[in-house]
Amino acid sequence: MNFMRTLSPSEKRTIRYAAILLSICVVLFGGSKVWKFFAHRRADYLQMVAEARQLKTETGLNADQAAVVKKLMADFQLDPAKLSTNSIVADASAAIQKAAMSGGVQLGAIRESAGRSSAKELATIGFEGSGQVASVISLLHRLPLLGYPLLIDSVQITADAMRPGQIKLSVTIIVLDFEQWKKAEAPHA
Amino acid sequence: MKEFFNQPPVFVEINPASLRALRESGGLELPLQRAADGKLTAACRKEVISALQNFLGRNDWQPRVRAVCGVSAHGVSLRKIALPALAGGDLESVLRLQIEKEFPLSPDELAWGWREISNEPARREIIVAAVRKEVIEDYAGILLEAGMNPEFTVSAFARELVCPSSNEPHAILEMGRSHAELVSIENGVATGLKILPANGDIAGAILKSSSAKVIYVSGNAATQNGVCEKLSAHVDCRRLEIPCGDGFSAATLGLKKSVSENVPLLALQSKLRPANASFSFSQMDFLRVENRRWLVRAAALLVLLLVLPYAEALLLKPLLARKLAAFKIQRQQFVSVVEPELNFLQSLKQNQPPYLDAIYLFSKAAAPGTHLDSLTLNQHGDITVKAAMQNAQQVMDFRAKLIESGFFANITVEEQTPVQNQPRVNVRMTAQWKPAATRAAVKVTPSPEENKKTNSIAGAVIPPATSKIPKS
Repeated sequence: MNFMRTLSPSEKRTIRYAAILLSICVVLFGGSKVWKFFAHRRADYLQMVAEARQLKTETGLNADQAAVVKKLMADFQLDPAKLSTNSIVADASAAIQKAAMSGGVQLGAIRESAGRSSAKELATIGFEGSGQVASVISLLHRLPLLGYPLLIDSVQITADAMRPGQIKLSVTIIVLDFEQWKKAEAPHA
Repeated sequence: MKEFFNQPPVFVEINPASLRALRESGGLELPLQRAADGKLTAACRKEVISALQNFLGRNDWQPRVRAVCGVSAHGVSLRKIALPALAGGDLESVLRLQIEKEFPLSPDELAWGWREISNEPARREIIVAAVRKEVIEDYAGILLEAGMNPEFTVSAFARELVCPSSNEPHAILEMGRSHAELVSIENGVATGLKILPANGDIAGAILKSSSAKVIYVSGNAATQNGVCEKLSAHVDCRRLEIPCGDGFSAATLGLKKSVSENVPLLALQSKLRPANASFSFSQMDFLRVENRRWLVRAAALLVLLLVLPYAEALLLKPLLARKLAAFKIQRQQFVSVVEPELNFLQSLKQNQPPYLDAIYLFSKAAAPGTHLDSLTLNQHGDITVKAAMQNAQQVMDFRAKLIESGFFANITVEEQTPVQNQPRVNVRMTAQWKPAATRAAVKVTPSPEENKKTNSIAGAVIPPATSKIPKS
């Protein structure tokens, strides 16, 4: 059974127009939503691409940093990553004594004391010695290149009245603590 | 790959009753049904197109196949035209005028072509072949729809290429079942073209039409009616040996030879050829399937162009995000290792005090006879010197030299005490080296004594060596 009355042509036309208008509205609204979705995804993607480009530039800087580190490590004959906090003072002290003896400097008293952790120091090594001027100067030159993070804190050179042509040397060396350095860097990493 | 995109050409001979197509892969022979006006019937046209498409096996995306076609001599007019010597650029327009004069139709209503017979300083002889444009356009339409790019000549001209080369005038007879085509050749160029009915005294008609002493005969019906025997009694009649099989004929083989040996044939120009036609929207008929297909392709490309950036974002974003995250972690690890090491080593380098530089400068500044009691230096740059010099002047000179070096600041003589009854002054001095950025670089040069020693060893004058100690 059909309960609906027959529509007149003008009513049919009105309904047709309304349907078309409604369809256009739906298409426009839906289309804009879809468009916005895709545009948003694309904007995100472009931002990500820009970020990737920025990272690429930064990676270039990192490569430069790595090259500088490599050169400094070669200059100092030192690889910070291989330093062991437990044995570094002993090893450094042994290396200093070996260098002094092989360079013709006679060592006297040697003192080791704990360094100031606030200054990122691991220990302080003080020693006295005597020898020819050339030997003493050579030792001073070789100390930073022994393969340990050594910083000469003070040097005192005095004439040896007992042995003409020889000088006495008193040196204080700071052994730096790379571990503390790393800890200090960590928050910035 | 090249052959995949540029397929080998097809050689087509179109006769009133049949169409032959020859290709490297094989041949095809199709019967043709014509309406009363001589045009192909719609059904025949459809069948021919379909058969040719199957024969080519071409995909829609592949370029059109070049088709070198020979049409029968029916309706073809041949005229020898003599022209005064002209510049090349004017020849076409002059020829058009001559065609207008010689042919019953205007050049625009004809498909025509020409070849030069002789080019003397005062006179040029040109042979012009022409046929009604509709004939060629009809064939071209079929071949275009079948996926070919056709170019036309007259089959009779192509047959000349399969004859043994000879400079003597000769004729070529193509015997068909209903008619025969006779073409006269002089100096390698067709000079006469005749259609003869196959029934009746064909040999007599041939002998009347041609004065050639040599006649080459080809075609399916060459052995019928004893034509060859009759001709042999009067002229040198030779049979052209053509391989059997679909698509093989003197014309298709001649067309093939013209392409393989790059021998130009008289080309009948038709404006339907898409290769030469310039594009214009007004000429585009979108009711044609071919054009509609191109329109769809263009629309698809346009849609692809619009959608691709968004599709790229949609498809590649997760991949890029993953890669970026992995790279960031990797970089973080790298930075956490390298940055502390870099800072540590740089700090070690910058804080290394320049003890050796300072000692070197003191030794250079000290006068001979100076006695150094003690020298104390620390990493903050504080220097204390206790020494004994011969007089006050030496103390002043010593200080002046230290200042001059540009390495030290705040040089103070804290105490200067002359020793009673001795040429000696006890001195206590303090100084400080300048910060690394402001102090002068130290140049290590050998002393005059060292120079003299070196020169005497080398036996020659050597300039003093100069080296630079880097700033610590």
